[in-house]
Amino acid sequence: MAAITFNLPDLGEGLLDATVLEWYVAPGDFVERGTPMVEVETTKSAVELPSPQSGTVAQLHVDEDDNIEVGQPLITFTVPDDQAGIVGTVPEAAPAKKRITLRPPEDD
Amino acid sequence: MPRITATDGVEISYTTATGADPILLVHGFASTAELNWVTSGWVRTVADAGRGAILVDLRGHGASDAPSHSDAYSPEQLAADLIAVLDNEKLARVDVIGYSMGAQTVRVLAATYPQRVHKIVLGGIGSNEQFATWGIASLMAALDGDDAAVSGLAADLVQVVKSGAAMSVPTAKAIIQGMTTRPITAMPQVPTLVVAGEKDEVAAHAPQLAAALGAQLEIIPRRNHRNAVTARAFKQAVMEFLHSDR
Repeated sequence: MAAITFNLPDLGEGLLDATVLEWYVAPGDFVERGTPMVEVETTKSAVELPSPQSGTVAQLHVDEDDNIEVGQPLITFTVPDDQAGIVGTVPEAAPAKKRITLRPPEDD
Repeated sequence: MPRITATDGVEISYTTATGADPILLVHGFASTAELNWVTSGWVRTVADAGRGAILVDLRGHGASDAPSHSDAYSPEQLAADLIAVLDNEKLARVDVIGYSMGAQTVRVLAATYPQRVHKIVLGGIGSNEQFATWGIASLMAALDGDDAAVSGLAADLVQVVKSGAAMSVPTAKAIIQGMTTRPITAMPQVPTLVVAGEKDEVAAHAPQLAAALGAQLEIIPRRNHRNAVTARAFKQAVMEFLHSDR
């Protein structure tokens, strides 16, 4: 098994941080890619982030109501080793209705 | 992105998401269809229920035209814009969800064109109109640079406008004046759900609105005007309401 960590993506408009409103997933949950994962709020709006990865949630790095800066670790998944090669690659282009794509930290 | 020409020549932009029986989604002041309904996860929620969506940028917002005179922004005109979009999509009758200023618009829409709507959801409003409650003169002063004229959410909205992220200052002024020329007293007779965050100052009088309209009321615990939008409890309440008795 391998661990993949995703950081808080750039939410646009020059916003540098966000507050976690509510997690929809918990450590141990298996999550399908594209499933709503967490709600975060910036000074501009609230946003629902879909999971960038299918896998088992290993760790949530931020508690609800706590602040997180763009680029800081948000969530870590555990995935089978044969999928671990995904690290360092950008997830496929999201469908049009999903405008926010999380990327592995190596890409930033 | 389809563009249509409204009854007064202003061009309105909207997008669609495929699915059965599309739901018309109407965003709030200084927001856009994208911010209010797409990044918030609403289009995903609607799609998961098999429903399509019509996502309109209200005039003065997003990709739609932004006239700078207040006559262009009456709730009646904004409602007529929505009808023009429905006509262009050849949709006879739809469910409608509005948030904040969009909900005020939907309130007028449903009362003026009851034959065009099935059920409506009014999110983030109460029985009052919030620009008027904050005070038009105070909002104008704040937009002119008097930072002390308003506080809280009103100050946040003024800041969003002044940052250039949403609209020009003249457009914001015209919208605020246009929406408040007359009190909004429309009384829709269609099935209505009123939804508000427990900590939403804009919707503090949501229970009074629901009572006046004979509407269902859903209060979202711990949420305020900005962050009620994404709440799962909001989405679940709306989808249950829209799909009951169908």
